[in-house]
Amino acid sequence: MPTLRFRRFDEIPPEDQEYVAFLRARLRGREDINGIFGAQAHWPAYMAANHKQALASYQFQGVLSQLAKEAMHVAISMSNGCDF
Amino acid sequence: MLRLGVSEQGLTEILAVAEHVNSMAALAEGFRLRPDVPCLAKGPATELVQPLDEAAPGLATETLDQIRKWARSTLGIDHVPAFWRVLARQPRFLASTWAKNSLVMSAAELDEATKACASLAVAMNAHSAYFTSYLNPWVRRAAGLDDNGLVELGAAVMHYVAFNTVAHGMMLEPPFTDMRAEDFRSGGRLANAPGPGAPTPSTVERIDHDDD
Repeated sequence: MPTLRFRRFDEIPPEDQEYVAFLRARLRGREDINGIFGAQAHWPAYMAANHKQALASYQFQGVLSQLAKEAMHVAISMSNGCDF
Repeated sequence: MLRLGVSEQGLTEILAVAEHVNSMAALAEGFRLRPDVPCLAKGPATELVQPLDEAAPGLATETLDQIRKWARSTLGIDHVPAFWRVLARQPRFLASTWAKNSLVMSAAELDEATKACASLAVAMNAHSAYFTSYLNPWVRRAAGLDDNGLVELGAAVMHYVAFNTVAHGMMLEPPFTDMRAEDFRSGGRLANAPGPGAPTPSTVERIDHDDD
C-alpha cells in the first residue's frame, strides 16, 4: 500500500486548483489522483513544479530519441530497484 | 519501452546494460580507479589493485589486444583503460567479462545509441566518475551528442532519479505487472494505458500506423 492515501481532485483546496489543472485535463474526468502524481498531490505546488521540470527534461523533444529516454528511465529504475 | 514497440528481448537488453554497467562501476569505484579516458591518470595513485602493465600482458595478451583495438576506434585513445588491465590479473575473468561486454553493449534489437545513453545514465546513477569518463566519448559519438545534448541526457537522468525517489518514498505500487509486448499493441489490454512515460500523441499515431 502507498504511504499516504491518494487525494481526489475535489480534495484539492481552491487556492491550489491552478496547480492541478494540467493533470485534470490529462486524466479526463477521473476523480482520483493516483500513481506518481498521487504521491505528490498533497503538495500541489510541488507537483506542478515537477511537472514543469519533466516537460523540460524527460518529455523535452530534443536530440535524444523517445526510445533512448525510455531506455535510460528503465535502466535507472532497474538499478534502483524501483517496483513502480 | 514496450509501449514504443520494443519486444521482451529489447527490455532484457536494457536490463543487461543496467546490471553490467552497475557491476563494472562497483569494481572501478571499489578499487578506487582514477578516470583514464581520454588521458592517462595523473597525480598520486589511489588504486587498491595495480593495473597490469600493457608491456607485460602475460596470458591476457589476446583479450587486451582486442580491447586496445576497440578503445582506439571507439574511445579515441591509444591505451587499454585501467579497468580492463585490473581484470587482466585474472585472464579468464577478463576474457569472459570482455565477451559479455561486447555482446551487451553492441546493437541488437536496440541500437548502439540507445545502449550508450542507457549506459551513461546508469553510470551517473551509480556515481561512478570512472565510468562516466570512460563512456563519455562513446555516448557522444554513438548518439551524436554535443554538450547541449549531453545536458539533455543529464536532465532526463535527474528526472528519473527524482521520480524513483518519489515512488520509493511513497511506496507506490507498480501500475502494471506480468506484461507482454503484445499488451501494448493496438487492441491489447494496455494499449491505452496512462502514466509517466506515456508516448506523445505523435508516437501513438506512429505505433498505430505501424500496426496497420
